[in-house]
Amino acid sequence: MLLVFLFTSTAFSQKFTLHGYVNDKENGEALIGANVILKGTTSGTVTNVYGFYSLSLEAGDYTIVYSYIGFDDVEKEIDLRSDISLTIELSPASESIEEVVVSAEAKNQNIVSTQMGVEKLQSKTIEKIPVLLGEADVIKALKLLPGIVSTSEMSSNLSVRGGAYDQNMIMLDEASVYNASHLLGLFSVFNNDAIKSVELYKGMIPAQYGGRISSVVDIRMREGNQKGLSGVGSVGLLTSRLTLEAPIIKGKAAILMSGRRTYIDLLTKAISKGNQASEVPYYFYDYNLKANYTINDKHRVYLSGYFGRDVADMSLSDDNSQKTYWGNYTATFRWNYMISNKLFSNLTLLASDYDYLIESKSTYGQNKEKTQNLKWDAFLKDYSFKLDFNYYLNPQNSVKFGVFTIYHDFNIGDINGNIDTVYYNFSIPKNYSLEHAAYISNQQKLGQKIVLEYGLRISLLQNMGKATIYGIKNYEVVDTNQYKRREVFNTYSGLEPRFSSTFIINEHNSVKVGYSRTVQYLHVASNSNSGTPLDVWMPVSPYVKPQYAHQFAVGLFSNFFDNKLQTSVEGYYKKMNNQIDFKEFSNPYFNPQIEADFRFGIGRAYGLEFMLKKPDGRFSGWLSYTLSKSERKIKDIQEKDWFLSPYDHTHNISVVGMFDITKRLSVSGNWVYLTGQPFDSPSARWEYGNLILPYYNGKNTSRYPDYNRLDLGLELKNKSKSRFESSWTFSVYNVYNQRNPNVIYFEASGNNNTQAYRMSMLQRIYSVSFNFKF
Amino acid sequence: MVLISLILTGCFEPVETEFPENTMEKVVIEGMVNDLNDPTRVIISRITSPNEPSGFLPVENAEVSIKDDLGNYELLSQSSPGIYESENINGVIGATYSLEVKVDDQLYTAREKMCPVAFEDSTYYTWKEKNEIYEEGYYLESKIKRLADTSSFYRLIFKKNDSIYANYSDLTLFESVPAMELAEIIIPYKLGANDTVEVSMYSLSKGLYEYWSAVARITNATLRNSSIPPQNPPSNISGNALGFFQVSSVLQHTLIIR
Repeated sequence: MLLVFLFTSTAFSQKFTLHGYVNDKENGEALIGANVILKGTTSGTVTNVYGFYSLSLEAGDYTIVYSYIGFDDVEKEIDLRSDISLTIELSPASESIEEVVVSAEAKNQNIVSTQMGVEKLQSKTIEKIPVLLGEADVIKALKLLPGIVSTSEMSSNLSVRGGAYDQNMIMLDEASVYNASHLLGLFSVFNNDAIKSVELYKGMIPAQYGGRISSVVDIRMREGNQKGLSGVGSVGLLTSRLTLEAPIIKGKAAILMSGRRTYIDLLTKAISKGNQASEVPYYFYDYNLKANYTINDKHRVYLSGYFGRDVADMSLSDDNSQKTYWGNYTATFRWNYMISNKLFSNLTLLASDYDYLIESKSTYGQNKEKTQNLKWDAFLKDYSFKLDFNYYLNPQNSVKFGVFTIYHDFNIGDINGNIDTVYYNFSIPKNYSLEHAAYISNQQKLGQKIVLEYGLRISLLQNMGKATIYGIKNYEVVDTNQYKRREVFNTYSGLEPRFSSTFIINEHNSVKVGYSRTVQYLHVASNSNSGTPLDVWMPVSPYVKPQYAHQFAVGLFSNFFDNKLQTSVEGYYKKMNNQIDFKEFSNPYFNPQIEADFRFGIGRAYGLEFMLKKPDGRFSGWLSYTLSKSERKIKDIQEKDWFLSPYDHTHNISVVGMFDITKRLSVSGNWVYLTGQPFDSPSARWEYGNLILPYYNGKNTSRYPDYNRLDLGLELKNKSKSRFESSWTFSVYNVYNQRNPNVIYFEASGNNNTQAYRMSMLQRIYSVSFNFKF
Repeated sequence: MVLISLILTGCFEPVETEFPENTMEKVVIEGMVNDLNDPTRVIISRITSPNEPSGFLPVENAEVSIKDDLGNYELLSQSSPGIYESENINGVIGATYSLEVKVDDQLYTAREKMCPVAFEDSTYYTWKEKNEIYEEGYYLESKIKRLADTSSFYRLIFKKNDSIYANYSDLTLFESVPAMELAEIIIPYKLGANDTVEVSMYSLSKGLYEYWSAVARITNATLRNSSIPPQNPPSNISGNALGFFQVSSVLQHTLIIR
């Protein structure tokens, strides 16, 4: 089918190819999604994630316009009589007041592209949004976009279009990040200074992505300055950070290094003068590293990595220590190879790891002669191989295809310890699996009015030994099977068709429709709705089937005032199958038979997303509103009726505004409003053994009070001296001190009435930071 | 500093919430058979509104009977509203007990076996100096050794001078103390001279262990504040009643601190 489409649209005439890269003139950084357009038409292409473009045209004279928002356009006269290689450098926009980049898309790209249900952010935008404690945060910025909510204020986990938080693939330079939280979710693990761009796919997920059913968050790190030494950094109340970039071989190779650390532990230790109670024994740090080398016109390699750690040291004394560590590392090696001027390939090798360790040691007894030790560790490791191709067949068709394999090595938990002379060891068997995928997709223009993108992804998961697998019937373990090392004992596969089409009504209006089927072979066995650092990720098994989702979406996109104002309305319906819930009081930790506690069912989510965006100018920002519903039906929990999923928020409003008052002074603000999350509230109470206990009838029958918050920010740039620029950022989080509950719980009060209590964590918080760049 | 404390302490305060309307008429059954000299007792009540000043709504005129596999049967009589007592049913290790309760034509039944408390033990008190965990004072310690092939689920109830220290977070449950291995338990309440203390160790079935774990999870502040959705504790009583029919053998020690 795909081939027929391709070849029927291939004309037989003398054609030549114009190809090359589009880079930032200041630092040589590749520009992703830059437009390469034939002047006076809408024909053209966009650069891929490595800044590469290729355009095959009939012999002739052309004027090509290279454009990218926030940068000055470049026009080139081309006499196309043979294949031409042309790398273009764009200069940042030269207006007196710096452009604020809300979207990387240029002009009416939102109208003419096939993409729907996609959100793009650049680090420059993320920087402008008021920050919490001086840390610009990509995940916090994403939560201001339609259809995306946080699972909790204190979490970096997301719920996208009513999906659960384990249904989002968060990738840093293509490596999966299983736990994107620092400080239990107050910050994400992504240092904004090291990030180039973020794309979140929540609707029609392109065929090159897979592995999760609700969304893909593709975060790309900056590559490093090829032109000269540059740096950016900040000193804040809670954290400081520094990023340095430099060419290794000018114009050919560059390196970027970035690091940050919190110092609340050092500060409180210095102030407390030995009073342990007022110390905050917690810190996190992370490093990003990226290097790239352009070997020649055809070959380029990249190496990037992330390492981060959270450390909580709750030790009371040398004789009684308790430390908890958790964090991720990722490593990505990429090799771009331009096989021909129409065929671009990329080989990626990836490693990613999330692990945690809880360690406690104490001595006791009259002469401290006895010891009590505990060590609890767990890890999730992925090793992947990926080969992707972009084939620029002609201006009407551009094809993507590739293959992908991941080896998952999960150690869900290992406990070792002793109490004096009694030693114990408890571990859950390690879990091995191989996940494979192959995909092909084509973006095809049919005339000037219709653009199609269609593709197919085929995915497969193989469970491998060594393993002990429990046969489960009626939620009871009935038999046990042992499998040898590397023995494949179970296989699932899935077809994942993806389709979207754009009908361009005119230059300023279009209608888009899309459908996607997504399959997910991993799930989180956590009965928490917001996620914890100890979440247990597991692959599917003979008993637990893969999750899959169908999503239908339709959208109307309109631009006004010469594309200065962009609007969209998108409606979606998502049906999710093989959803997991838990029997009451299930314990996911150190429970080898946890699958017997699973209860299975279906989910559905539907909604309308409205977006009004002013992407650039002195004033920029957006207004987003989502009206949605997310429900579940789970056998043997509540199988007759749909009940609200914990991710259901009827109304979700975000208002974001940024205004440059003068060249040196700018202000920003955002306000969010979210219908309170559903939770289990007791509807009655009862007595047993002198205890007063709550009675729960049904799931998620009540809601938290509605969430709302206003944040404000102000940036004052200092007069720049030569290349060194600096600024002060002031921000207030939760300006009117709204007490949004993180938890609501119930207790019998003095007169035995049941009283609800709320715990609210993030009240009004002021912060100031000093930022610099050179 | 203000900033740091703001982030890390958070704020706990009462909040007005509307409770979902309760349309259920649920029966709560608390049955207890043990091998002490306590009378065998079944307490029957109904759930009440969360805003009701008294939580106990007795069920009177219920038909309550208990029989065991040793051939004993007794129809229990109501001693005070909602409280039904037996005169002849006494707990015997190894015997199985069946409970039948009839309320408004609805039948509730349960069956439990009495597991032995199979510990060799010694219980004594020691003086502890102040450290990170304990204040200075006397503390009760037990050395326990579980015999092979016996239940590994127990609940400890501690009594000091007639006050029961078995409130919310003090439900003590031993899961899987390895058989034939010596474990040491320190009861974390400070004792003074002349205090009379009583420690009772109740054997639990796996179901009852799960029931008490669930109760602890609902009532314990730390666990409650996690975002794990709460549920009703799983009962062993058929007919959709709340509560549990508990059958336990008990090991009891009384000491006076001198």
